[in-house]
Amino acid sequence: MLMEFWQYAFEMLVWPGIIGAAALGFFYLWIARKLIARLQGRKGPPFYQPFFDFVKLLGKDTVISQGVSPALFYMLPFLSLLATGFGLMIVPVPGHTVGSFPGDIVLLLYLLEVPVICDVMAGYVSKSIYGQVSAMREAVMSLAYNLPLLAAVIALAQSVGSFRISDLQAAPYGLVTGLAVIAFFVAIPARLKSNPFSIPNAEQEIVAGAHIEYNSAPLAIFELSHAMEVVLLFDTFFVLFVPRLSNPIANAVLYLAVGLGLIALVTLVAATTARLTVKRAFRFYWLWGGLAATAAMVVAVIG
Amino acid sequence: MGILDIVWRNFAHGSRTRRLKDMPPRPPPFRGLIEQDVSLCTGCRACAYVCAPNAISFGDAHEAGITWNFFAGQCSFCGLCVQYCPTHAITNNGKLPPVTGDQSKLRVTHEILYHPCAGCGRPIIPIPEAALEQVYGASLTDLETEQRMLCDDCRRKAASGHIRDAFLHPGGKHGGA
Amino acid sequence: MNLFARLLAISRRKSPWIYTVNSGSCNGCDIEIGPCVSPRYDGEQLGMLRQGSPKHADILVVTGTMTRRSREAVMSIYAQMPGPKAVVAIGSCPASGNVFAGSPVVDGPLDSFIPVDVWVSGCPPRPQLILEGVAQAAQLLADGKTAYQKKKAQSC
Repeated sequence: MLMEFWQYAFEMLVWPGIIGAAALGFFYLWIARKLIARLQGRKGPPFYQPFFDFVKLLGKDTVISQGVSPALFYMLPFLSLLATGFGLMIVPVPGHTVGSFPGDIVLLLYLLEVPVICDVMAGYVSKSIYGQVSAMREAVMSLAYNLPLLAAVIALAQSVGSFRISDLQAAPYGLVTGLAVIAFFVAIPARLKSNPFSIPNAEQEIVAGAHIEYNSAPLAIFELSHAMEVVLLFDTFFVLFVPRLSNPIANAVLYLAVGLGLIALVTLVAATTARLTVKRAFRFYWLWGGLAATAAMVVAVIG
Repeated sequence: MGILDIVWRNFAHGSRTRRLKDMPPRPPPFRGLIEQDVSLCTGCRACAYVCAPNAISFGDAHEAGITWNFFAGQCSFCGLCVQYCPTHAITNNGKLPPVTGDQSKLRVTHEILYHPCAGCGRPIIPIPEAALEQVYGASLTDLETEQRMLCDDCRRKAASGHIRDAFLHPGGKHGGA
Repeated sequence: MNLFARLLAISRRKSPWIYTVNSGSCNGCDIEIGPCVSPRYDGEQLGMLRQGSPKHADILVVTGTMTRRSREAVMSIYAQMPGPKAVVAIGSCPASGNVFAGSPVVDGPLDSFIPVDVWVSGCPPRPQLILEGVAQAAQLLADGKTAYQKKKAQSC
């Protein structure tokens, strides 16, 4: 009984819990900043910069605007952190074996939505008009990219016949998997709010995004949860679409390689594109994503 | 695919960022922090007159002389003082203006001391030797060295004394008619 | 905990987030702040990020004289920044008013309103000097020697 408690504590806190995912997430975010700097011909931040940003934010005083409820102000980042923490615990990544139960992919998708809802709420409860515009844009973007993303997962589940992660992992590769990979990958820049879908964080238009009134420790927790969200997204991609190798070390190396490859691709897209308007982004996701999703569903139902 | 070309070239070439220690080269007309060589200053106040933001001012040094005060925090680095100083006491060597937390490091005060006139004892600021050498284009003779320490009135008296001597005593010390 | 305090000091030096405000400048200094985020000078090698909201920033970078119209805005921005915070005054306008001193709409040097930690002199200063000013302010934040931190340590 005690052994199990320590095991759960290890999983929740160290790997794949908060500390391990934060370390890996900050590493991915640093790679993204350094790579985009290199692609822009400049030097970029020194090693592990997002971690130092996080620690510095923890050491500042908190300033809450008049009229904002302090309970909501402090609760939203922790909610986001808890959701990503729980999500990390149910994904079978290298170094963490977890039993799969029916519907766990649905639970994972719901948990992945919670940070977005926390961001939207953070924007709405701020007393700033820029925060509210950013929250509205984030909500619209979420509606946009979730169509192809969820439809891809549903099509995959339909072709396999179950909503269990272990069954989806074991599924053979086919046209449905290919379309699902494309739909998932196209949704990642919108989740990470990087170009061309950095619409909620548009600096020249709405100053700072949904976190405009956030500062110090709550902002630090939001940054931490953002780093963990990156790891969770890449974990989901790895679990659904990358074949498992039998050797555990090779599996771990493949996991890191997939993570680095994904962040490099997302950064390349961010460096070479400009921000789209909300209408164009919505049309892109619903038109092309909708077509791909429909095609995937049709193939899954027929084949 | 223009942007992909640019991005690939940036990736292959590496960063173009200068390190904080490597300042980009300064072109010759760069106007940096001014420096004053107080041994060349005559106290003519031309620099304070042309200074648009009043960064240069003159003050008293407790009856022993005058002070030349410069506040780099008011300077607009236009270089007019360098251009108008008749003895080229103020120079521009391309030195960088300081970055400091202590505002007193931006202030410079030089003292230009009075000397008593060799004739009447009035306090004067003698014309600096180096300035006289610039005017005459050669090193100073004894006559000039002696006349340097006189005030205007005494110098005029000395000069008219030389002319009177030249007329009254031709062939004497200072040449004949 | 001494270890966390040391880590916090290192992080404060490595992560100076700035917020720039123009309180009445001729725009020369603001134009020189632009290259600080360009590839040639790259402020990000110091960890410097130019933030859009004063609530996200540690260092307030002020250009220009304190004109009467912008006095309330600059004071309000300084008050909104969460501590510990530093102020960097760019150019000679905040130090004395430069050519504008004595005008009826210019209120006076910046340090009669908010405590200034670093003066970057020049008209305008070169971008490398502005980055050096930000780096000095970041070091002051790490050492606890900014005016805000000293005042807080005295009153505690």
